[in-house]
Amino acid sequence: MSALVTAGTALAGPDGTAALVCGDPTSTEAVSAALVTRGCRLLENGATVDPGTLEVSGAEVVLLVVLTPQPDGTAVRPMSAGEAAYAVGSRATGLSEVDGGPLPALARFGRRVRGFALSSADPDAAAREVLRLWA
Amino acid sequence: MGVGVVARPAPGVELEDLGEEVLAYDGTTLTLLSGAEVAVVRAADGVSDVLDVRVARDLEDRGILTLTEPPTGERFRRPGHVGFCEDGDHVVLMDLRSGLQHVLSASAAEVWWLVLETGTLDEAVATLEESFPGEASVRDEAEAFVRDLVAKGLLEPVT
Repeated sequence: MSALVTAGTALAGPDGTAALVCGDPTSTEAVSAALVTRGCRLLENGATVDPGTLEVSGAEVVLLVVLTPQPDGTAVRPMSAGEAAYAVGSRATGLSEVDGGPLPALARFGRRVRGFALSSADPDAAAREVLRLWA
Repeated sequence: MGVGVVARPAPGVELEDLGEEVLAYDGTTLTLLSGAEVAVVRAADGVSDVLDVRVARDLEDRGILTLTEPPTGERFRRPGHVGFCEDGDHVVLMDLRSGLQHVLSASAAEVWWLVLETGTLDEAVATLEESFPGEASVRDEAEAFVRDLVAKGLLEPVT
């Protein structure tokens, strides 16, 4: 099965589920590192998502966080199903090769995964917010 | 083209409805459509008149829709309450209001597809007559089949 190859970083939480963090590369790296120091396990950079099960390395993706840098403070906005699907799809590579076609896989992702746009200047604050959203 | 324009997805463009938004993909570019664009692409069945031509033209410029003059003759479309899936060369229609299923045989499914693809009974019959030259009853049988689907609420005329 050809997977959905994202530009995001997948991390596993204590409950065995996964979060996909993507967006600004510098922010993604910093927030992923902050999540690892808080007990999350790095699964994959450039995470490949199974288009049927939405799993990365056996962990089901339940949370998508799209990061954008922000001068100060932290802001969170829930994403619609379409926004979440587009956020992943527009950053994916080899989209046309996804088994079963990219749109059904992206639609499945958008409907099943809770997506949030997270803006923060502080990676630690952003990581805390990710864990709060993940809980 | 200002009045009486119909739209359908441009060749190679696939659409995925996500409720308030629609994803469009042409094999290269992924586009998220929202707001008025959603209503326009949902009605892009090749037979329904475009209600917002400005939005439709913008989608045409972006390679997502193709706009044409409406087909002549009686036009038909699949009602919104009718879902379908393919099972081999058969088609299963589902009336989402009643839950009733209707299984179309291979030949019936061919007529159903042609009516939806061409949008008109005349064009569907013309295609069938090319496929079955000398079959005098093609038009009568296709017409009777379409009238039966309309009576059952599985196809609707576009007025």
